[in-house]
Amino acid sequence: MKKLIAIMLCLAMVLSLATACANEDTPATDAPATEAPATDAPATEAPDASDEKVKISVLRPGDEEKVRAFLEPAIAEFEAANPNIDVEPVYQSWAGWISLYPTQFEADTQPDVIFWWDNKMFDASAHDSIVNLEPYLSEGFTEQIPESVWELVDCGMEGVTYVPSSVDSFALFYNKEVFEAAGLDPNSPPTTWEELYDTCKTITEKTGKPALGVPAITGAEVLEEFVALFVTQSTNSNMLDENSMPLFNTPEGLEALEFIESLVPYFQPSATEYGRGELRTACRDGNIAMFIDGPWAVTTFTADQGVNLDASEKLGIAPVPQKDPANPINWSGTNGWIATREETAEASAKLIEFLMSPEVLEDHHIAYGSAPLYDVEFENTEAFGYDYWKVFYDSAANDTLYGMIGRNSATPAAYYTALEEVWQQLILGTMDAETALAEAAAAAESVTVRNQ
Amino acid sequence: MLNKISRPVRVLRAILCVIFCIFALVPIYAAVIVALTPYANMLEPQLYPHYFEISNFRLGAEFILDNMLNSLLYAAAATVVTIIMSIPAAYVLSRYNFKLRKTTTFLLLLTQMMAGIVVLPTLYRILNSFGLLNHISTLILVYAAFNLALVITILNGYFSSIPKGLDDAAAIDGCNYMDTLFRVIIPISGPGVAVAAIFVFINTYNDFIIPLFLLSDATKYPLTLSIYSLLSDTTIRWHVMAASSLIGIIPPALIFMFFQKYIISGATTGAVKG
Amino acid sequence: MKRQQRIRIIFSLLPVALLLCFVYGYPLIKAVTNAFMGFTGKSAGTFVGLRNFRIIAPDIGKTIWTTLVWTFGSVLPAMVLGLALAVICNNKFKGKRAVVAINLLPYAIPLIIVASCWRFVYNSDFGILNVLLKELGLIDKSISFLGMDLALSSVIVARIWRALPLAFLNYYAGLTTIPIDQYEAASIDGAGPVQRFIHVTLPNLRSVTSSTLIVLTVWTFLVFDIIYGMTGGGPVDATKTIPMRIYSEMFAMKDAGTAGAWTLIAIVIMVSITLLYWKLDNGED
Repeated sequence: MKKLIAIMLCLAMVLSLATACANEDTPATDAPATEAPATDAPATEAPDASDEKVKISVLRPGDEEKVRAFLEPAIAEFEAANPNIDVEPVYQSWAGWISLYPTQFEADTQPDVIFWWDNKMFDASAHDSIVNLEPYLSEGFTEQIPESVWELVDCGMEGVTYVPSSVDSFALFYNKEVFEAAGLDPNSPPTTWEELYDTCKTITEKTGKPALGVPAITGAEVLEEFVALFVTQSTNSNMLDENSMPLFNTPEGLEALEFIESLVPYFQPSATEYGRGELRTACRDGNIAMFIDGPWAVTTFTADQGVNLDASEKLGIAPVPQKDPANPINWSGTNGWIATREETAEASAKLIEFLMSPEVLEDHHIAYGSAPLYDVEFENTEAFGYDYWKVFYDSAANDTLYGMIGRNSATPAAYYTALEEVWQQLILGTMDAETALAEAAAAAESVTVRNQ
Repeated sequence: MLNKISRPVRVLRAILCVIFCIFALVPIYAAVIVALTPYANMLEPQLYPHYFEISNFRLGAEFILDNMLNSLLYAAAATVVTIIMSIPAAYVLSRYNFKLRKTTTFLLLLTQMMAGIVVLPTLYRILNSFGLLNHISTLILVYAAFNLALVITILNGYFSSIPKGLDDAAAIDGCNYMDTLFRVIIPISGPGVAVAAIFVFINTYNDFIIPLFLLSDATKYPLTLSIYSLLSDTTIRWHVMAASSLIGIIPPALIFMFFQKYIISGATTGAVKG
Repeated sequence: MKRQQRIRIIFSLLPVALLLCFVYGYPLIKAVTNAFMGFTGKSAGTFVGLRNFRIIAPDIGKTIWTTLVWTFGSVLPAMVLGLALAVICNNKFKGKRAVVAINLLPYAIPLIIVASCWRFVYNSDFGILNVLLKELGLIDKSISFLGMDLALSSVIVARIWRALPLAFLNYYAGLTTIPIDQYEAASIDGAGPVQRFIHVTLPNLRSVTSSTLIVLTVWTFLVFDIIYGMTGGGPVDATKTIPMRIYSEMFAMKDAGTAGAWTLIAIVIMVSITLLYWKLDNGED
């Protein structure tokens, strides 16, 4: 036994020495890009410009495999074209990045170029680091992105601080087989609130199945976005004004919540256990008839049904039902690029511009399952030559868009947390619409007041 | 235990044992089922595995292996640091009767009672202002701090059980203080050191909240933090989560199996937190 | 010699003391003072008196109640079950080693993996518990174990699962210290097994019981990982215990002041329990 202990302790020593050595390296940002993509081009061209090489790091959070797939070739190409810029990719999962970006910004170890959110521009940790890119961007660059999208992401900061890259608006996904089973026409999904309600009612009455899936899991920010769709459709304004005070505490806001309340009997049971992923599977398997989701859901279905969802006998994708079809309104979240250091702003702007060039953006969208942002992306018929992509693209280009909550606040995440408690009670049917409206407004206000 | 146990009592005992074992194994069994199910069939109810998707374990291993290695390294380093710091302290506490001895033991006990969540948010801010976050050496020292009280208590117990006469005899033989400690006391307290080491190792390997606050670089994540990043994703990859959870259980489970005797003796000091 | 001793004492304890002051002492003091400081908006950096407590006031009652239900709802059953298992295992029988090993397993597993595994048990679609209940014909619609009504009980069961081995080990070790002649004496007096258990076993386990009770109480009180991993504090506020509040104030609201206020509340409760432990433990020597 003693021998065993001795062996164990020795092993522990050796291992700890190993860590101590492995530990010598400095924080990720200034570490040499030893893992730089194994391309042939840059290495040989380096000498002439090596004395003033700029090093920048870039982060696109998400599934590492997918990110690598488009980011590494893009970086290799960029470095070849810009031999004096050295780009090092950083990988993080979304969840990891969300819980840890405050630390990185406060410790000034954040990557130079980051795939960011439009509602976190005033985030207390990040706001002061975000750089205005306007002086460095080439002329006409901003014009390739639709005006409606620029309006969506405008948060009142000077210049161009955020370059939207993925615009993820909602669509209605539905299971055609369930529609048929309920005696409904699988090719005419609901387009208005009234139709949505009637469809829900018919489906649940005829098939006994829950008609509409609602993602209500705690802490994932998804429920607030579901509710916000209906609320902004009704109020035709953002959830909060530029001082972060609630704009939804109005008769129109109440109308939206009452509409949601009327749908409660048709939501799936155990709603608070469902995230978006579970709804996708449940709808595919015909356990729920419809749900509202972004373009991210498409990849889940194409993996199963083949790429041409237009031809699917099983799944349909349609624009979200409108309160007022004459004035279509959609919720839309965006992700886009920011630069976080003045010293590297020029190089960062170059990289961002490159990442926004149609070919690279297209690869980015294909790799990650986002809808096209540029018209020209549709020329790639293999990836985007389908009608369902038009659903997302048309909505982003033509609808009035309202986005994520808290864009003018130092603590955007706090609104999600505060409102989620109220919305969960609303969709569980334990709180009526009127109380929910008052409570939600009070909750949002209290977050705002604390930041004043 | 005195007279032979009757048959019905034996049957009852067997039934109870089975119930306890089922309770202990159910969550792990559930994880096995999920780990064997392809993602596409995830929501299908299964009482026993309907699928045998062994490739999930490959996915899980790919996802978790680097982080598991991190965890093992941190645990080993924290163990060594904690033991080295604790031995002199425990020895002094067991041998000398000084004024602040009672206060010291009380304060140690107090730190053992404090869970991470009360100190870490503030520690995080302090370390951040010194730029000490995200360093492995900081992490190891904090791990050590969280285990010091426990190790000192265990070692103090062992040292106290060694008669003082032995120290005196060593002194007469010409051993100085250090010699006595390292040549006489520590070799005798081998099992005590082993118990302490095992517990520091397991506590560190299992810890989630310290790296949650102190690390922001995904390449440095320990296993627990990666599992959490799976748990909190908007679309949970259940199959990967189950497979990597099962893989992650292996090291502490093996330690528990091989060192059961030590674990049992250490448990009375409340050695594994949480 | 005296001087030399003092130097030895100081040098042996100093590194430990320094590290613990930095990791525990300073942050604790800072957290307590933070409770009375402002961190958000205009009040940042100023003394705000009891403002932070006023902000969290509406949640204090419910949160402390939830925390107490969580704590005692899991500690007491874990101890009763732990004692039962220890009594069973106090005899020699075939397969005992396996029973002990299996029941120790939960104790070895990282809490966050405990949370992950229990989600596989409770899930309303594929969770094994719902599947089993349906298979047995006891229910025909899934029970939402992590829903509003049952979430707290469900996380408590997970906590019991994890705490049971600790109670078991303590009692198991405690049982072996009971002198066998006490049982013999009781048997001669005509005591049956139940009476022997009540009059010999239980009194001898008093100190084990009190120490286990307090250790488990203190640790359960502040357990963060299991709840964070299983429910994130939800749905609504069904499983928001004090640690969940500290975390969300710190990270969603970025307010070290209200986080400090919650921490202070937690510390007051913790210190009282620790003092109690200290008293009981020393009173019995």
